Amino acid sequence: MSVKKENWGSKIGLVLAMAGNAIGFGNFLRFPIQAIENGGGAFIIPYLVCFVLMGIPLLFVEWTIGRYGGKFGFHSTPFIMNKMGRKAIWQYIGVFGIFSNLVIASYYCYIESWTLSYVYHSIIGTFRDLSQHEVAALFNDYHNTNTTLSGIPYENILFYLLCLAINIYILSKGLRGGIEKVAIWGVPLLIVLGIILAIKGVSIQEGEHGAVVNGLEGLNFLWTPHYESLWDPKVWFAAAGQIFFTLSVGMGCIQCYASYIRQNQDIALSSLATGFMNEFVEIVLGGTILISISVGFFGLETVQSMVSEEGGFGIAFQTLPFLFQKWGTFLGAFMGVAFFGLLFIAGITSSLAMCTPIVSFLQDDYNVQKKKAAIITGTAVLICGIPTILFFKEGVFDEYDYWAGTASLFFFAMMQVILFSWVFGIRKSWKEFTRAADIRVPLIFKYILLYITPILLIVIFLTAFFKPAQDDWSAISLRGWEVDKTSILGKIKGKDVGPNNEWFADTLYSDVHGRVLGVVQKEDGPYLDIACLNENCLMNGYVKSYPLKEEYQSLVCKDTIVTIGTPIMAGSFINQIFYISLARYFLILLFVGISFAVYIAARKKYKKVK
Amino acid sequence: MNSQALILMFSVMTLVTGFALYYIIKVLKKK
Repeated sequence: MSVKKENWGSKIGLVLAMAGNAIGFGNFLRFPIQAIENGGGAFIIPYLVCFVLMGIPLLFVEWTIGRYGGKFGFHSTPFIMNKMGRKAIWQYIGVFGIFSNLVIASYYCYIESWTLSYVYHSIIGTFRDLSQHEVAALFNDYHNTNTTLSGIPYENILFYLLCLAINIYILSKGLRGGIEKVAIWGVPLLIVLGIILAIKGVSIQEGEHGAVVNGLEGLNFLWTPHYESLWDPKVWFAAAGQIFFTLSVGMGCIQCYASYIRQNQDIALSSLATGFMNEFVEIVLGGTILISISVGFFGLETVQSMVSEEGGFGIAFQTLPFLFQKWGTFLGAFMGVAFFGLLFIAGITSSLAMCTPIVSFLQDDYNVQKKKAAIITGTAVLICGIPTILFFKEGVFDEYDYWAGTASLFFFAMMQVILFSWVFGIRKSWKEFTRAADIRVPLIFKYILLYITPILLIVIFLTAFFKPAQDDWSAISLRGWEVDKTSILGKIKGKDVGPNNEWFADTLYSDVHGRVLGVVQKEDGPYLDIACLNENCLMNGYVKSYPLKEEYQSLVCKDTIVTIGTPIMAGSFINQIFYISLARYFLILLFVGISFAVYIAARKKYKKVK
Repeated sequence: MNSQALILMFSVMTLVTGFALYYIIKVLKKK
């Protein structure tokens, strides 16, 4: 067994790298939207409860598992969990700690590349003099490999490759020379940029630069508490989900970083420091920037509909570049660079953490050199990521995100806590956790870890599996209930597929209820547009566009009312389900492939021991 | 801003910032 000598250079370097791992797009783009949609200021109550009962304990678990593994020279979860659980099954559960990171990194780097591209466009002034509609169109066209408003051919692929190259370069420099240096410079810079943007956002004055209301109105909108929402289980699950994603738990990267901590070094204080640093960035900065700027310039009503229709990513990429221009050429460009630069730093410090377990696995178990391991990791990320770029609109991106970025995390986190508290044993685990601690951790956490956190995680996993349709919790009964199309069971059953449920078909059916607007000529060809007429007011006015290629024949005319399942086009179609199914098969194959690689590595290890 | 929102926002932000600073300073001291 080769015990690696690599360690973190300093304690603050470790804390910043861990904080950089946790601080991601979700802090700035997901948190404010979740808060607004789940009771405004009242959301903070379940959010903080989940942070204390689930977030902090999970940080303790993952840091402990990591440092424990480092004692034996293990840096990836399959072998650490095998060592703790003493059964081969834990080794294969640990595979999730490599699988999730590889898959999430593949599409996360794509989002990261959007931010890099938007930094570039803010500098060269692409957004100058564009209308809001044109800025939104620029983002939509970005995903079309052939057409971009900026004039750079294959722009999305080029920026993706550039992002990967930066990641590979930093990874090849190792822990101290690469990741730690980036964190030491990047995280403070991110906080400074965040503070500048937040101050600028809240100081927006009605009437100045075309602002409709004061920026503080945005904070009023986000923080006004609707206490009745606290009785809705949906709000509590949303809070638990947000804590999960924001702390980057259930992935396997915290364990990997923690495995490089010296054995006589504290983990209790450091884990709390990273957890609260992340919360500061999320609540204070993330909760301020996006909403205060957009409400200031657009007013409350417009932003309310944007929140439900576009979400955080839509507001950030389709609206903010337009709003920044209102501050004038220089300040507008600076704010664009600051905002997308901040997102880029948040992204890269997280993607580096995702790639490290893979690099470590290759180094530890296949004796691959650091640089080579970084290049192999980058290539693997590229191979996994290319389908998300080429078939972005066909739903491959979302499919990756669902299975690797949501379902796997819930499962893996649940299994880790069971391993920590019940299999390895809370007595041993607590001793391991508090060893060399720089603070006294309240003993209550021992009992929270033993009972409350495992129960919470089991409930969350079961909820993700059997969530009722439309999040209607009153529908749950002993006789059964209809599961939501976004639940794991609903996904497995194909409830989210709709009427175009065959891979190849001669007829295309409408998957919305609405009125046909007619054939509309767009940048990349004609489309048949249907305006939704759903009773659900959120969907009202949403336009669904179906590409109308030359060889297709439209079966409906303008102003026809169509329902879900009405035939709208004839021709030879490859339905979205084809791409989604291939993505699923690919993910299964990838998991099996990684398990096999782990099996081979384990055999080699045990032969050496014998 | 309405007073309820202001009080809630101010107390939560102070709490979170306070804890973050407390732990970071402690880490820096124990370096």
